[in-house]
Amino acid sequence: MHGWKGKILRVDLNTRSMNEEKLNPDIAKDTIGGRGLGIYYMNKELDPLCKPLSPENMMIMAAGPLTGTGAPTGARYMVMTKSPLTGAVTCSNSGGYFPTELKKAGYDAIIVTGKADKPVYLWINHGQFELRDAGHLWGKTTHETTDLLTAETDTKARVACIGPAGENLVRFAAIMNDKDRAAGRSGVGAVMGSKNLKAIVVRGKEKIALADPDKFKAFNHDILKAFKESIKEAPLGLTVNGTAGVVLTTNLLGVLPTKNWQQGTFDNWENIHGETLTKKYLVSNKACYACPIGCGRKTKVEEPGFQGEGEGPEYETIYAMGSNCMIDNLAAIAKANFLCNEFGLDTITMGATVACAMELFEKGFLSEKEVGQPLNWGDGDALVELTRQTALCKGFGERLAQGSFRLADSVGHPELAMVSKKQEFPGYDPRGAQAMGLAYATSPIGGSHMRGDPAYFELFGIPQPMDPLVWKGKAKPTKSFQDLSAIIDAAGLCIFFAVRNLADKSLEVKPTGILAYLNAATGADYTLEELMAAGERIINAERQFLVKAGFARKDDTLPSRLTKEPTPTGPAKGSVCHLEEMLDEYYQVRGWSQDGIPSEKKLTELELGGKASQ
Amino acid sequence: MKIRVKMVSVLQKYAPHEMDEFIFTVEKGTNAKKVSELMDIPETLKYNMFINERYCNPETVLQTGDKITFFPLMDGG
Ligand code: SF4
Repeated sequence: MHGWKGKILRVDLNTRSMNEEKLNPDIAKDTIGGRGLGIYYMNKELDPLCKPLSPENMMIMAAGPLTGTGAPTGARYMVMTKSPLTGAVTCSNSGGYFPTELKKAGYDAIIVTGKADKPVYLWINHGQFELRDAGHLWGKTTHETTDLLTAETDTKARVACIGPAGENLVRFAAIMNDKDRAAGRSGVGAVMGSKNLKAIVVRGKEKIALADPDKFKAFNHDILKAFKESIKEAPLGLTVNGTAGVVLTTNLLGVLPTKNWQQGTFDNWENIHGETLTKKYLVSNKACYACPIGCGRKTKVEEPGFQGEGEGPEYETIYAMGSNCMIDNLAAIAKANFLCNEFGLDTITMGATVACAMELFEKGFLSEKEVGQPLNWGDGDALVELTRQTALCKGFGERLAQGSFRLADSVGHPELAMVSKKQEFPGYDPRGAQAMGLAYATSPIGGSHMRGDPAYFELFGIPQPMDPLVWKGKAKPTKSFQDLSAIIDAAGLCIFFAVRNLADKSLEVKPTGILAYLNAATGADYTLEELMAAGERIINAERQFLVKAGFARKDDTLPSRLTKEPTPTGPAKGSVCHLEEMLDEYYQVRGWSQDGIPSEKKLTELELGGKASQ
Repeated sequence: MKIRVKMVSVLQKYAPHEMDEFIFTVEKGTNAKKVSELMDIPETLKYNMFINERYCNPETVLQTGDKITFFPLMDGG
């Protein structure tokens, strides 16, 4: 095959048996790969009612057909599983170099089931594979693990692994690859930990064959030329200040979540802004494979108490651990971020859970005795200490390790957890960006921006602006963006490049550029309609899984703070998120019932067969 | 008529003396696009505009005392 490698590696940890399986070309085309391939196998083989941390759960790591081809930002893979945080499907995505190496080693995907009787790691070396003992790695950080594994396998090997947080089954443990890139969300690292699988190490030298290399090269040349032209006047903000540069925009628009989402502006925003990060801590940019943007930040902090080196913080980390906790000490945020990377924790849920705990403490729902220390707004030392405790499940960290919903629920105040489907939100307050609220509520994985990010329209004006405060008419562009995100995730691309450069400039964000790359790479001859249908198919297939796991409209929710408490400051002052009205419109646009169940007609149209009934 | 203009971040260099906020005199009926042209912001630079802290179209006409804000496009997250 072209673009795709045409092979999947199956690993059954119960029996320690492994085998290669051919990827059916029709399935490859219909699912695209990555996220599409993942949900295809989950729907086919996984009981949606299984316990996420049981051996029955499957963990799929899937690259896309453009991963490793040299298409700009074709660097990514998806980790898919049933989440221990949400109980829903999750698809957590990451870049770096590991995904490309996986393709070069010969595989589009790895499907892991079962549980090893003791810690192991999987070593894939040019089409050879073996499970090796990982007893000596258990308890080690992700950085230590990576160094030890490259030393004992191949210095050029790439590693995806868990840290102590994954071993301790923290519900929001991440899988880290290339040390600091994270498949961060929804506890994919806990699933890996529950399987006693410490790491996957890959090394490969195979070429990724292209169907029409000349066409691919010519198109690539044009796209990169246009990209260079677009940044002639001023470099991309993402390159200069990383994603952290977004603090300026969100604070200006009044959507920077502050004080556990009690307000949308933060007085001390400049202290945590990307420009400050660049000035004070940036060592150099870092780019994923084949990426012309390089939004990654290598940083170093020397302030006493917060010394460290690593990557980050990203915008989402800065909101969650910064304004959301009223912490304006960027050194403390960076330090907590470094710890998350080393212990293997999701920075968004970590920060948002501490913010929730701070509010519970302020209101007297958590005592100093329970927390083990005072927990006041703005306390950077507490953030760092609690991050450590969470990863190790020590002290109060054991309760934080459950995420904000379970913490707030345990003291009788679930409404103070800023979550959808029990997963914490990224940093855009939907009271000032209405479509974002709809995207959060309907995202298959719970609170997320990566599974559909209409903030591009509402806050960044890319590719076209939409008034962020208006809710009417938001369902259609939200659906379009969700479908586009599914295609980006399935193809193996990064949203930061693809939305600007590989989609058309309408609110439909048609994937015209992705289409050209996919056809030149795979030779699958997609039409634009087929590709767009494939994106929609992924969303509907995920919804089928959710429905069978018991989810419906009752779960497409936002906390009452966002739908009933008007935001008190900034340009969005006085507004709430009109979720219910948007949901009515959204289900209609999707061809789902008003209870959020895909209709038989829609499923037949997308060739997904069967009913989505519970 | 007099309006207030605010330039954010990298756009500040297109303001007189690189001030971040200043008073500007324009003719009645001037729209947001016209103000951006008067500021000499290159077309290739991507930015958004607010009038009185609400998103506006390039065609939105300003009134006396309005505050127009230009801010660079940033994406990420
Ligand atoms: S834009 Fe950033 S996250 Fe995306 S591929 Fe490039 S470096 Fe990686």
